[in-house]
Amino acid sequence: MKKNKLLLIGWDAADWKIIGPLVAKGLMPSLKKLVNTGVYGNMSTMNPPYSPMLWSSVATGKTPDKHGVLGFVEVVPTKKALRPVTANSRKARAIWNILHNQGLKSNVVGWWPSFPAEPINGVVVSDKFQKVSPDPSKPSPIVKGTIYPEKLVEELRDLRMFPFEITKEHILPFIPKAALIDQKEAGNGLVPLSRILTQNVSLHNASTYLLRNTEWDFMAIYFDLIDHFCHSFMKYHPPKLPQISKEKYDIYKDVVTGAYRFQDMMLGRVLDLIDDDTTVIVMSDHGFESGTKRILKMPKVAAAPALDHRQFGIFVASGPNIKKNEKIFGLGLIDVAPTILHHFGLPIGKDMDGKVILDIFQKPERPKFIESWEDIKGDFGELEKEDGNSFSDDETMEQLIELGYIERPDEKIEVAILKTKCELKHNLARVHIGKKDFENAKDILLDLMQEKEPIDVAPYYIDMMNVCIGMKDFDQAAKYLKEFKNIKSEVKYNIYFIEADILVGKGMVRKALQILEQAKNRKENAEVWYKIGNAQFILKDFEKARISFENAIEMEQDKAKYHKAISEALFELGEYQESAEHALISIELVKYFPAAHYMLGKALEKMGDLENAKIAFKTAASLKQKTFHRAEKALENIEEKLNAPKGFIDKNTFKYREEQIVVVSGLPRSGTSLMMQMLDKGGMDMLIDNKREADLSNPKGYYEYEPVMTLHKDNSWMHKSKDKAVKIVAPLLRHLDFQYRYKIIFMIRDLDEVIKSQQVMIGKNPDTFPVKLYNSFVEQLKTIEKWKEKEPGVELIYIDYKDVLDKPKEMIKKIEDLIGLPLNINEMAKCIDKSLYRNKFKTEVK
Amino acid sequence: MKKEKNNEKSILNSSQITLESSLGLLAFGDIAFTAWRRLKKQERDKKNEKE
Repeated sequence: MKKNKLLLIGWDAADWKIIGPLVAKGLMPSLKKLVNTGVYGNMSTMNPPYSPMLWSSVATGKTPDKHGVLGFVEVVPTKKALRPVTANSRKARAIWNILHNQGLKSNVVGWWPSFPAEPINGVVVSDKFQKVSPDPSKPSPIVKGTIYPEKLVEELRDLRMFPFEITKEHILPFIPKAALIDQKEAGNGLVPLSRILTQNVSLHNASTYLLRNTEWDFMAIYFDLIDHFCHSFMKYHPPKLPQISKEKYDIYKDVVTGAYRFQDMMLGRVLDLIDDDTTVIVMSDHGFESGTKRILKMPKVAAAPALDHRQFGIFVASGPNIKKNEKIFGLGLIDVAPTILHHFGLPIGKDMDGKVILDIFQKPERPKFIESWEDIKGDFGELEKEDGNSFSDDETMEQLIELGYIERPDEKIEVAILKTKCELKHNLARVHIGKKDFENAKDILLDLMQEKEPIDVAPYYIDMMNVCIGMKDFDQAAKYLKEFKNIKSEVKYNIYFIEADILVGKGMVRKALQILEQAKNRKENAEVWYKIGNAQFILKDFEKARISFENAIEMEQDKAKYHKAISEALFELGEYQESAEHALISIELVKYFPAAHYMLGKALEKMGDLENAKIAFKTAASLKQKTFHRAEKALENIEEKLNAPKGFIDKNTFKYREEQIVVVSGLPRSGTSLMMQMLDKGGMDMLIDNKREADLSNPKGYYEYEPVMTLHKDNSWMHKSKDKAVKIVAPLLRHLDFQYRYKIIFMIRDLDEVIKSQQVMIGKNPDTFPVKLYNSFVEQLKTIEKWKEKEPGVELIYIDYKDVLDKPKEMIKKIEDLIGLPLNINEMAKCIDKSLYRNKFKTEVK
Repeated sequence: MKKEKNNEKSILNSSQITLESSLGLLAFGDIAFTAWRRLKKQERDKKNEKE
């Protein structure tokens, strides 16, 4: 059965923060109609938020490392010139290529980038169509490749509007006080306004023409009106920023809302031209800062204006099989292409990074998959390989320069080309960082860091340090930080976050906190509060952490990680309901956030809502790229609780777990070696290497395994301990690899005895009581108590050393229950020689 | 079924199109834009004739 048509409209940079109030006041009636008859939600962007990369991801369902569009400009095949990015850079098939192959017709208007127009079944009006000369005396020919099929050139040529055609009636709705503008003043707002408006009207004209005169199955229209108006005029948008003069504010304050309203008027006309059963999607690729974070003076870094882009854009969909008036969560622009393919009943390439947004459909069908659309042979309406006859596109280049997206190329073209190549490679590294593919990012950044003047290597160092932090290689990050401080760069970077992250990673949390507090006192912002909160959380000052996270949220409400962080702090404070609420907000903002789902599960479990906790843990486990072991273990636990015939099964009601690891732990000198010896005699396989020889303190041996000493750096050997027993001292327990199940026998012993025994062992006077050490041990034991509750893969029993001596059989039974396997109780009991141990203790403390 | 018909007629058959145009006219797309261009040309031609 043929599917209904689908119209995809792109509004670059459209943001709910502006749309919300306008819709509420009835000033965007067309979008309101779509919202009321369909679904809507936040659309999450990707990093770096550069529009040609993002819209190519919308069209392909793939990240830029796969689709190949890596920036605003590209080097021509002759490698002797630069030009605005073209469709030649795209290496992955777009929706319209796939639909072409499947015999469906597409119209594509203004997509960025879409020049040269691809020879598809349908029409492509490329993003070169609207770029005309502002000078009426200069011709603006439609060059080859602007429109496909070429026969439409004659019909569409005169639908282009020129800036000199703008009248006061076009300007006044945006700038009612336009008469006050000094037109001779350089940089007055009328020039960009005329250019942006006419370009978008040209695209709208082409769209309405095609809507009226062509048959199509899929149509995509892209507008940069809102984005470009925001880049030029957002600084004047209410509320007035103190740095903006009242005079300028009064003149330009309505331009941004004017842009949204005009975009809505154009939408209204488009909706009038489609069938009732057409599915319509309106979306943006990112939002735009409109509050206190607006940047008035852009730093001199590549694509600086993108710093104004906000993480969340918009998504609205309406149509026959779309839910009605419902908010949808967790949308990503990468999901659009798979969703459209699914709409047409086509399979999704497994190599696509996006997923079908099933939540939008009234009757969702199971998506179909193929390995890759790239492997399918046949006609996909693609461009032929470029022949090297490069073309120039001065108008577009000039516009990108004016908008600040690209620097005016150097007079020396070879320098300009080198800078562009570095920029594109850097963007690729940033894509890898966004995907947490640190290894690939590192390779590229290492390469870039070798560049010499005139390339500014500072931004590469910044990213490299963050990569090292992401990889938990804090020593390397510190090394790069030292080198970075000697680099000369035109740009001044704030490095206190990096310094703090390195210190936290190295365990110097208080020092990190000090740096962050100083930064906050100089100038507070949401991120610094968040980082302060994290440090306080690590220091277990949960109340202070909560307050810091609240401050961060007050300054920036829609950062998912802030809500996840406060959810964790509230959980620790025992405020489970609030913890669950913030975890939920976090998920509403970013659905692909396994840690937030996990927090939600934990909070719901504490609240007794096991069914929903199960869903949350399940989602957490399914979302994480690598297996989310904590979530999986928590899920198993919940399922056991749910399946329990009566009430809840205690966490410490023990049974054998396949490939479990038995850990003997405790403070040093608390009887761990004795316990290892008992398990050995009891028949357990042991993970030991006998490198530490028996001595007077442990005459039967230490039963240790050397790699345990560096568990905090490397736990990759832990698979060797499956179904075995291994000794791990208490402070290292938190570094276990949580893909396994652990049965921990935690030895406890009177702390006075432990300390005295340790003092003797290291040759110190046992009568000198180290109070600090004692307090530290008390703290460690408290930490273990909390930690065991938090870790779903951990089961733990405490065995008192004294009880082992006094009632060995009872203790052995308890150990057997924990392990879930029969042990040789008699052999184990033989290890205990009460008199020997009592004498030994006397010797130790004598 | 498309919903444009009546709206379109009312815009294009009336004297709503002026030389100064309007945002409403631009939002209406190709038909209105072409009609506006035609009007501008007519006015230019008239002016040229007078001269």
